[in-house]
Parts: sequence; structure tokens; C-alpha cells
Amino acid sequence: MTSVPPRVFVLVRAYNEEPVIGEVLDGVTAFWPPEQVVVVDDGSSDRSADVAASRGVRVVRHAVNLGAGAALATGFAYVLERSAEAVVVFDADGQMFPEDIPRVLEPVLHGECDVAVGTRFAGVQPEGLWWLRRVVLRAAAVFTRLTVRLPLSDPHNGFRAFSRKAVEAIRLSQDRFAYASEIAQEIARLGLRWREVPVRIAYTEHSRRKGQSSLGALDIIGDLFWRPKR
Amino acid sequence: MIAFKIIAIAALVLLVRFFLTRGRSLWRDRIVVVTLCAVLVIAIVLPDTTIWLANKFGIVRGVDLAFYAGFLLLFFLVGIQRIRLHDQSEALTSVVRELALLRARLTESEGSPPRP
Repeated sequence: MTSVPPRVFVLVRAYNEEPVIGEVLDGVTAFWPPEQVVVVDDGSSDRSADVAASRGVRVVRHAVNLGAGAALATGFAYVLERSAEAVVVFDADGQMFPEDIPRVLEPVLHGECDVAVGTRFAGVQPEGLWWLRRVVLRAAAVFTRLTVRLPLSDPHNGFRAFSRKAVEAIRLSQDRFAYASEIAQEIARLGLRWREVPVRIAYTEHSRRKGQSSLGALDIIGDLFWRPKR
Repeated sequence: MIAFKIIAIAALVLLVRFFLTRGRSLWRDRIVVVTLCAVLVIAIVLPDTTIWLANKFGIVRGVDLAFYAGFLLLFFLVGIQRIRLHDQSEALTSVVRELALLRARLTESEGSPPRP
């Protein structure tokens, strides 16, 4: 394990990921000390939290399922309480590569930006990305560019790194997947410095089955327009 | 026809009673619901009156006025419920988050990382 800065956390959101979360955390903890890895279990009905705990990482558990955005906000609150200097957000479904964590974090730690946003379209093309998902992701990028005027190529990529300043300033009111668009809104509203970092994404049988359906884009747009900010 | 009128009026009376006695609805919501229901009851009992009232609003037929009032009532009730659900969802999120963080603090203060 290379030298890991203290008080930099890896935040892993999990919802019913029992079949894969152990392997994902084994990969993460090969790069990161377990005490600096936080799993927010979003009310899983399976043993995701137990499997995570068996890896020695920190586990914070929602009593009921709230959604990806709410889990992220809980994780932010948790790491802020523990004086985090920066945080990397990583998914528990096995789509992302733990080896990419240092690369996503690097510009934030070097003070080059407040938010580093992973993009699956700037480097190695994602494995197993089907055409409809590609169209939806591209449409999300256009939507973000038009509504927030932020030229992100992959705004719904969950692989991101945040400085403490960004974590403190960003206000998330969207509990579900619309949080990703909300982060883009917050970056623009707060004038945070951002940068895209190429990351690898590999869709697996599990992640395709578990992940958001392409029609979920309609939910996101509905949430953005129908759920006012708190 | 009379049977239908009785059923419709009974349904409206039950709706008003339910709205006034159950839950914690605001007085302004109650006034809107009672007023709209009253318009509908008048339209059912005294259909000719609705023609007069409809003309006051620039509507030709009384039945159209009743339809619009019914539509407004439905829209209003759905809107109220949606706002209430949204508020409750926000409250639930806050409570669940606080509980999760509190449990984590407690577990860590006991000397071990948070466990489920």
C-alpha cells in the first residue's frame, strides 16, 4: 500500500450489494486503510452491512432505504464529523476500479480543484455499456450543459473526489439519483473548481441487474423539477 | 337519478367530515375543500342554481361549472397530499440520518468502528 494521507476517506454507498461488496472492499482496502473507508449501508435488506463490517471498515447504516443521494449526504456528514480533509466516493456494485482512487483524488489533494469528477468517456471506453445507457448518459451531459452550463462529459458518474471545502459547502436535497445533477448545480452555484478525471467502468451482470434502469432518467428529471430544494 | 344524487352527496359529506376530523389539515385547506364541496352539493341538489352561478363566472352550462369545481377539488387534494408526502419524506431522511450518525458515534465511543 502506498502512503495514504490521513483524514482522507473513501466513501462507499451500498444497497443490497451482499454478493459483491466483500470483493469490492477487499480491492479498496488493498489501497486504503480500512479505518479510512466508510460504508454507508442504505437500509439493505441483505447482509451487505455485515459483510462490510467483516472487512474492518467503518459502517454507517440507514434504518430504511432512502436513496443514493441521501446515503451520500449521510456519508458527507459522517466524514465531516471526523475532520476529513477530502473524500472519494466509490460505488459498491463492482463497476469501478479501486486502482483509480489515487488518480481521482490527486487533483483535489494537490489543491488543483475542489471536486474531481470521474468520466467514463475520456479514457478507456467502458466495458459492457449498452447503446441505450450510452444515449441516456450523453443526454444527461447535454442536459447538464444546458441547465447548469457545466460542460461535464459524464455528470452521472458516481466516482468523485471532494475537498473538505466542497463537502462543507455542497447542500444535497435530492435523496435519489437526481443528486448527481444536483452536485453539478452546486458546483456551478458555489463556483467550485472542478476537473474531470478519466476512470474505468466495467458493467457486470450484477451491476446491470442492480443499477438504475435507463428509464430512471425520467425519475431524475421528475425529481429535479418536482422536488424543490430544502 | 335520485339514488345517484344521494350517493354523490353522501360521498361529499363523508369527504368533508374526513377532512375536518382526521389528520392535521390547515384551516385554509379545510375552507377550500368545504367551499368546493358546497358548490358541488348545490350543483347536485339545485342544478338550475348552477346555471345562474356559472353565468356569473362566464360559463354557459351549470354542469360545466360543477365539472370544473370537481376537477379543482381533485387537483387541490392531490397537491396537498404531494406536499405533505414531500415534507414527511424530508423529515424521514433527517431522522434516519441522525439515527445512523448517532449509532456510529455511540459505537465508536465504545472503542470499535461502527457496526450494523
